[in-house]
Amino acid sequence: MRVPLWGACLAASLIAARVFALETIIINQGYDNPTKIAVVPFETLDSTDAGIADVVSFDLARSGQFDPLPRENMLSFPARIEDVFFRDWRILGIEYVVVGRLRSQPNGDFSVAYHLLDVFNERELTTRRIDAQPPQLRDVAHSIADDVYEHITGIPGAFSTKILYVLAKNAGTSYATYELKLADSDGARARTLFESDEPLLSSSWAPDGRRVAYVSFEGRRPAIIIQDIVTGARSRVAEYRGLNSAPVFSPDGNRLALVLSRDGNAEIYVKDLLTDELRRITRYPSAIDTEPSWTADGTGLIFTSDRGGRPQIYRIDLTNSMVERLTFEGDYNARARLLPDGKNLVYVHRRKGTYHIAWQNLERDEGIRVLTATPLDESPSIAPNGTMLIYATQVGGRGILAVVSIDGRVKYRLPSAEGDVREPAWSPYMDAFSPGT
Amino acid sequence: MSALMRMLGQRTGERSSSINEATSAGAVPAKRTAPTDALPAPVKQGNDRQRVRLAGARSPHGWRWLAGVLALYSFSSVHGAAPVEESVAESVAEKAAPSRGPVSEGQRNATIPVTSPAPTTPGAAPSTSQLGQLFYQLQLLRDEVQRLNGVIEEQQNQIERLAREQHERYLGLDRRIAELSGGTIASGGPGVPAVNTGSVRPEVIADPSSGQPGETPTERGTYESAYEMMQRHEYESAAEIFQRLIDEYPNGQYAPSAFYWLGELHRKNGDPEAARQSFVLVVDLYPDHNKVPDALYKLGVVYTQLDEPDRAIEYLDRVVREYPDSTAASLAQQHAAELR
Amino acid sequence: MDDEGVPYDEDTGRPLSRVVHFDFDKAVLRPADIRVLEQHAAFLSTARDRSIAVEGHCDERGTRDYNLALGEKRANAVAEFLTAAGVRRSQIADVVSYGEEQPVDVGSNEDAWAKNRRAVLVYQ
Repeated sequence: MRVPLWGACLAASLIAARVFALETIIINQGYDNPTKIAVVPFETLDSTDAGIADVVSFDLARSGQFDPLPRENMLSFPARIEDVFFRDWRILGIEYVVVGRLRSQPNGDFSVAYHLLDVFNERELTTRRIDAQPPQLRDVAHSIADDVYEHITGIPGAFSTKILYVLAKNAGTSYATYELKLADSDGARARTLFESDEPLLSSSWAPDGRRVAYVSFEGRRPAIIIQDIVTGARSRVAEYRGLNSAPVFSPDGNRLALVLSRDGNAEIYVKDLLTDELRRITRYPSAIDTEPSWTADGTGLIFTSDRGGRPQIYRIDLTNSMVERLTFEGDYNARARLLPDGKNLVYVHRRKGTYHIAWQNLERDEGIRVLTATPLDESPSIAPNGTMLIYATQVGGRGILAVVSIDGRVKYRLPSAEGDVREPAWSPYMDAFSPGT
Repeated sequence: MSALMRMLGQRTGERSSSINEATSAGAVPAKRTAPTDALPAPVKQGNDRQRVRLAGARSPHGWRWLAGVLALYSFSSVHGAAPVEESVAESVAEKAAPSRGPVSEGQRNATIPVTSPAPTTPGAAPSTSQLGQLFYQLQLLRDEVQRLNGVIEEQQNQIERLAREQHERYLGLDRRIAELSGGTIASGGPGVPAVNTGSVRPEVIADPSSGQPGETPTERGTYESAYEMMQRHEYESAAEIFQRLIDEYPNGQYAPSAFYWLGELHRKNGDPEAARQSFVLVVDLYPDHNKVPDALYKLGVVYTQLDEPDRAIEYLDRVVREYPDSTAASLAQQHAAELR
Repeated sequence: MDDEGVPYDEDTGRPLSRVVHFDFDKAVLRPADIRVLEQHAAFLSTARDRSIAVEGHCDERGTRDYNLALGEKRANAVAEFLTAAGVRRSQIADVVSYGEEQPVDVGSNEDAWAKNRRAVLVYQ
């Protein structure tokens, strides 16, 4: 029994190296005492590609809250609860163990069953079986990582999410190209949603995780496009005279906040996507009002305005048009996003001439916390579980994407092979195998 | 005219809590114009071809409206009707300068646009026309209006912050005394942080009535020593000294506060009736003193302890009615709500 | 760019500069640039059949959407001045901002940034 299992694992690890070609990621920091977990390679009885355990381990590792045990340090490779010798794992200091197996079905589909075990209490925390098709292998792995993360931390995992970003090549030259990309939250499986010779920017997600909005200069003028990521169908929702920028979907997905200058200067509008009705939200002549973002309940917007001479973050209540300024520290605060709890704000903050991502609690008057250290950080976009944010930065003169935890302690970069990567947008939850769906 | 308003950057339609009122009170009279006058009607889809432009677009004599705007602006400024020919740099600098002083570090590197007159080619180039000068001035003024708006926003924020801190200090002291006496009635209620839970705010250092003219050093010294004792939780000695202060300086500066704290100490000591008497004396003997709203609130608390909720509510409502802006009013409101 | 059919400096006889520059996070036209724009306005006031587009640009610092709006503010400042100086509304065919997307200098230094903070008159 033991020998064939080893063989299967070896095969799995060879194939995994391909699935798992993301070693360029750098984890800059982490927690002092990350949870020690062992995700044992899943048992396979045929040649079906595994590597699930690697993806799960890697997801957990980049949260910074887990320290997965490297495979070579494992003393055994159990696939069932009855094969787990808790004492062995305890000796290794492991707090949790994930074991599982993968089986192919006659029709080519496969099924995965796994258990999450608490080593110290020698008990099972959860077990689940997932049926899927071969292209969904990574989705299954991310779903397992989400499940494990939630059972141990109490916070839903966001590993099954996607990211949207713009890949610009040769920007600033006459042969520039811009691609709108969609990838897994770890940067894997990137594919192009749209490509243009003219700039693309301001990508954002609809809450259904199916539609995206962005600004395209494909007609040499800015226009706001909504695209279905499944069918690829595109529709132009705003192409007014002047600016058309910064589209963001309302929490119910039926409205789009956007910025137009059709009335003279940059102002925020809300377009009802069902009736096409356009409503002007801000009224401040000669000042810039832009970069709107919805409050969680959809009754308000936060936005950037230079009405006070310098860009700062404001909040407007859509029911009574009351405006309130939210940021007072520094002379450049822009592109804010609210955390899902509605009480915390992240934005681009200039300090000593450089631009960082900063965090601010709106309820407690305790100042701001700068989360990043590179000089040109921008476009923060928050994971749906509110634990991490992705942002654009520059390293060696090249635009890349990086992720930082909201407490600033965990930081990693997403690999990028070429060009400038920018304008990231973190998707809503989209776990196709979630136990709840 | 409407386009001029737009250029000056006045705000319409959008309401901006108290900040807005502050701005409309003085700076630019144009703000008083009805919103409908200043801006196109709420956007309807369909006419997006039409784009509102400057009045100058319609008038071949663009400088005329510019002069108008500047005259209007100068008129409203502290300088009265400044001549249009006046050097822009000077006039803007003058206007900007006074605002720099009191604005603390929140105002940071207030860029006064005067610095921008950038590379000019001396002599060679033809001098800018009157229109050009006016346009330049207009831009600076528009910038300046926005900058000043920012200053107002920041000051408004500081005021709110100070008011909040004061309120929290009040609650902190109140709660501390209540905790030490084992009573819970006067505590700030849910959500109000206790003063010693990680807060780094300075403790209450003195009664607000201290430092007024006409006090005698001995009186003040006595009051302060009693106050300090109270802070050190030496309630009995503090009560004795407050009583002595009242005996020695019945018409003194600190008598009302001494009565108040005596009431508070009686209350802590489990003697609500004695406390009630002290608070009543504050209200009756010194009706204009700044401790009155607090004393009224405390009467509400004391009557609650004396099991007379109707009387309590009477006093609590009085605080809210007569001193709606006081910190005591918000406490009273909360307390009354709990009683009802 | 083709210099034919564009206005010339009255004194030097050289084609007028078609680019004006701005301070960081500002959309205020500088006096020297205003003088240049006056000559453009004078030219356009006599050549009523000519029209221009105004493009606004920013340096790479700050957020992209804010810069898109800032570039528009810069282009609008130029258009506002030209119309105030007698150019017909119909002669300004377009006002468009490219934000920080189309730098003339891709460097990350003060020189590059100063060059990129600009509005450009494009004769059509």
